[in-house]
Amino acid sequence: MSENSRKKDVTTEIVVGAFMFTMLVVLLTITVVMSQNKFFEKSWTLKAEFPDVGGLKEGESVFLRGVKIGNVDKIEVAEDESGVELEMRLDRPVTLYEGYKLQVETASMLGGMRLVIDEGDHSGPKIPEDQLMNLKGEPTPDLLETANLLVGDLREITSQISSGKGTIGRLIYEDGLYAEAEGLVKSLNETAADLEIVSENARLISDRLATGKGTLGRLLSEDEGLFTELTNTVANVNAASGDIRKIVARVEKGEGTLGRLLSSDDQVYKDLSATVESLRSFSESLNNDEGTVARLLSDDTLYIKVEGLVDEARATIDDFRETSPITTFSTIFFGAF
Amino acid sequence: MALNDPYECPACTNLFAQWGHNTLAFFQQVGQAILLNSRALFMTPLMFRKRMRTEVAYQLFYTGIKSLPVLSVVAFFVGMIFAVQTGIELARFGQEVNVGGAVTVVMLREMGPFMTGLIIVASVGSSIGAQLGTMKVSEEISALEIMSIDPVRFLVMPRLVALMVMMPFLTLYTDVLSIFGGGVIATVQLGVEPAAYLDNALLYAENKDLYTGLFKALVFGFVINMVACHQGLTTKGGAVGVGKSTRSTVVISFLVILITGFILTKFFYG
Repeated sequence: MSENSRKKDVTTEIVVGAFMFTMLVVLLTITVVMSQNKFFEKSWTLKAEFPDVGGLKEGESVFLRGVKIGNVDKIEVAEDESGVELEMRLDRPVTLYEGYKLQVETASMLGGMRLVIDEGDHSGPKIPEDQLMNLKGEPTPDLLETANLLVGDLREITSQISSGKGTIGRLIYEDGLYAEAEGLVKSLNETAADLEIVSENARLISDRLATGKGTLGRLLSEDEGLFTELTNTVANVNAASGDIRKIVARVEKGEGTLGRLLSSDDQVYKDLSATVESLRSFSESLNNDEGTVARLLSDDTLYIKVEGLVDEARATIDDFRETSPITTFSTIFFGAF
Repeated sequence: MALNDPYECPACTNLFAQWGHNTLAFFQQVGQAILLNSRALFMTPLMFRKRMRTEVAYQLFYTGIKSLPVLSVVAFFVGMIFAVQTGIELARFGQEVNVGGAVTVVMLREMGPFMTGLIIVASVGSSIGAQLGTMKVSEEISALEIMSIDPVRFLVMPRLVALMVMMPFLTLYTDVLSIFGGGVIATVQLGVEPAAYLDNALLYAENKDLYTGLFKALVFGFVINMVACHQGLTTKGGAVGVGKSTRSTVVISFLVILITGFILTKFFYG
């Protein structure tokens, strides 16, 4: 065998060996990664007994509060045939409390199972560490049974609907409700039209307010004239109320006419009564035609005489007016000489 | 060891008699191929002998290393194609993150060994058929026998070892490259984070998928060598015969790989 041929053979062997070694390393790595075992990291083990595990398999994920914290390591049917013994390997320690739950659940709509740990009430007593190897799991819910129950319920509901029972059934099969609904819709439409008018009015009012029209608009506008007037009015009212307060004080003290009228002293009342009495006797005299005034009021002779006198006076004045220019001219004429 | 000539049907006119003779000829071919490869399998301990070691190393090199370029391209693009096709459909349901699991599981279980098998049939199997066929028609096989060199030990066994050893490694190589190609598409086109792609791949893939695929590749290696060596060593009729042997090697190997793949899948997952 020549040297070149030998070198070629050696090269071939080296390349083949390198390729195979590399592939072996890749195979080992993939195997380790896919087995999801963390050989060099610490792990914690929990053991539990379940009535059944609902198809959970070794290697399935273990979740705590929605976070994956480990995998199911081993599943075995219990020797006493009372259930299934399950061992899980966790990446972190878990503290369980009274009322904890270990439940096998469906991982997704597409299938697959997972084990979910509920730690229990944190205010309750802790589960001792020696019991972590003897936990109790919850029975797995039978999805098929649940689905069957659901379908049964749905069937009952649809049969009730088809027989016209219940609100939905009546809605579908009774015309009365339809008529009521139609009436309701109609009245709603009317209400909506009214609301439209109201909103239009509101819009007009708001426009007026915005443009500063009307009392409220002027109040809300930037023009402070009305505000000033109002302030002055209030000031006047305040002043008036001060005056009123003074008057009331005077009245309370019995000062002035009104005060004396309202005071506990009845002198004014007596005077007033006497006056009223005098007036009454005066009016009686008038009614009885006693005295000059009464006769003036009741006897029209004097009136006729006075009327005649006035007529004569008017005639005299008229005569004087007629003669007045002549008198005036004579006065001027003779005054010149 | 000279293989017996294929069973020849007598010139009978009876159709049923012809079918019967053809059936016998088929069984003979199958039996010959299995016995030939079984002998080679029993001779595998001899590969560590000094003279054989070089030949085995060369066959390993020829089968494995020489196939890497074409295998790389095919594996990478098949992974990308698969990711695109599944990713588009999964994206319709907002589940494109699951493309990692889909690509990985399918490649590990089925497509990796199957694709590798087809490529090795087309490149190495056809080459073995043509090489041994040429040696047969040029009476080199007879010359070896005259020199008391067993053609099965010298020609068939190294190729069998090379194919059975290299097929699982090449399949693993195909798997890795395909998953990487799928990851490229998932990241670039589907917007899946590389970490999410890998997490999803590891979520669904199991060691069983990987080792089932590698076992399939091992069986495919045996099958390819069986068909190729048998077709080569039973070549007749000069250059035309060599061509026929080569063609038969490829066609029969394809069919046997498909059927064997189905049987193994049914066995492991059925």
